[in-house]
Amino acid sequence: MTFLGLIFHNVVAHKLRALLTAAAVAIGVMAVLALGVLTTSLRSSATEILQVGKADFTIVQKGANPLDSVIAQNDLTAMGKVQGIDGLIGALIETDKYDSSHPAVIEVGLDQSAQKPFGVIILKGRSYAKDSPNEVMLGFALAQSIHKTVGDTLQIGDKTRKVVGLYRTGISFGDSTMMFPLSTLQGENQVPGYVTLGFAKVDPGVAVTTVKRRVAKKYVQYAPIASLSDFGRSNNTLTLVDAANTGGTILAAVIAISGVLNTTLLSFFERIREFGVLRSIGWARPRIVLLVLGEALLVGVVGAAFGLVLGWAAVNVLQNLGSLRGYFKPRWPAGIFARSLYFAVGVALIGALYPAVRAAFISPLAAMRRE
Amino acid sequence: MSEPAETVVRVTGLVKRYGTDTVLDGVDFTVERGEFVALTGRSGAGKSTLIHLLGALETPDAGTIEIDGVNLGTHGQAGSSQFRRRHVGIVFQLHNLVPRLTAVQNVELAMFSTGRSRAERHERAMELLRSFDLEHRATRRPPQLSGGERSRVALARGLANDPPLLLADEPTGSLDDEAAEVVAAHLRSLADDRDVSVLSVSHDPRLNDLADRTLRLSEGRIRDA
Repeated sequence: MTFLGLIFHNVVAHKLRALLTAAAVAIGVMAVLALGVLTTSLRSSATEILQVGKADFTIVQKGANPLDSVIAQNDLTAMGKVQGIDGLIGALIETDKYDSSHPAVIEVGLDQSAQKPFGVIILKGRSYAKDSPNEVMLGFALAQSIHKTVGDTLQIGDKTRKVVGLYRTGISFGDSTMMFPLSTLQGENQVPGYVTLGFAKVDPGVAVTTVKRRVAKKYVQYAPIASLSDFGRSNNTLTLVDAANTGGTILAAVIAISGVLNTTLLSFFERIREFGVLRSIGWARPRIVLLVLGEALLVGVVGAAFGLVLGWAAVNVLQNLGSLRGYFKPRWPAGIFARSLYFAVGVALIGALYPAVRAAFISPLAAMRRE
Repeated sequence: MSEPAETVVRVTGLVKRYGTDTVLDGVDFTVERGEFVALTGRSGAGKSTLIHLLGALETPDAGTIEIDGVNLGTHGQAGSSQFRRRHVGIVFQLHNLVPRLTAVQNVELAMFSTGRSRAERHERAMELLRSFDLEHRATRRPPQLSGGERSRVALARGLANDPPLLLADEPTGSLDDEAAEVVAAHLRSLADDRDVSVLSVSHDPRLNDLADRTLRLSEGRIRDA
């Protein structure tokens, strides 16, 4: 029998305790994984919005969420004349309910002439006619999801639209939108003369940061954004998302550590006589600490495996929640799995540390007198 | 560490108190290598306390204990673990085996941190079980063994690291006559064949008869019986 074999043997011999401890770890891992995927996905969505149209930088209203930003078209036209700007496209972005499975479809209002520089590639059919009140184009991912194609009609609110084309943008966020003539969407949403975002291209050979600085200096109510850090400076949404993730992780850790501590402490009381015997036959304290922590580590790894499955299920549930459908596209970066594993190992070791130390410092005689 | 002496146990002026109750009050005695000594005395005389002190499971209030050339008073807690691993084997009346481990695993348990490989630990444990006629019971767990068998497994565990001294606290106390005779005979042969010094607390006359010497503990002191 090896020391590792003894650890494995002890865990298997106390199945119920091990399962309860693993469950505590698994719940924590599930929370960490789901929160991590949610945060990463939200950050990715924000990045994708900034990348629409392959712009060098995006212009948003300072302090506003990208989808709530309001920019006067006159300002955008004026900004287009800033030295170094090659082109500037304005897009209105709204959301509307299509059906119960698609409660918040993203609608993009874009001039027909701006489609190409915006990165729109028509896959099937044609573009809507200029200022057409009842024609719509669908991103191919949305078209698949709602089972519509060119020639079909669709009902949004009290209006019936004809699908005249399918497109892709090369960005998953853009491929799940529907597109209207800018003037039509502005009229329907009673925001004539306003757009949500501006997408800027700079002249070849000109530094983006220089042009950004010029825009920011002249138009202080707007924020030119080229990176997530720019986004963070103009808007605290990502900071809040990160804070919520950190807070949730800490809360999950506290709950998991409490669970591990409880079950390991109960196990310690059940096995107190055994620890006394081990001490009496010459086991040193560090070896007893290693034994208890080793058992906790093994259970933690099992808990991590369960937690990953639970986390995957939780993310799927979140993805299919009506209110998040379309917005939340799960991203599973490799780091999230490593982080979950570190979390599991960490909570298992921290939770088991106190019982391990108690087991090591128990008086052998007092322990062996316990019934 | 000094070389092992012929005198394996040397106790001088040993005092142990529990609160105001003085259990041992100046105990002096020696045990020679390969000697089988029985320790008797009325209930509460301090026999088990003396065994625990010799096994470094408790610390004395005064006096010195020297076992196999090692002065127990100079050892800290970590040293006590090492001392118990290397210099003494302890057999308790209730055997104190780990119930979910097999007989051979219980014996192997005593050999962790001794530098023996897994195969060596197993081989040594099987050799000891064989010497106590338990080879065929090696894969049984303590609840599947008789009292006598459990007692012999505990003896095997106590001898796992070849200690010069075996301390036994009423090893036949919970056994029937036949099993008690077998265990007593094994203790005798340990002293004769393996040169192990045996100090055994006992109320069992059979054990006392087999011992080289009997020490009687009375009023906190040793009286040669």
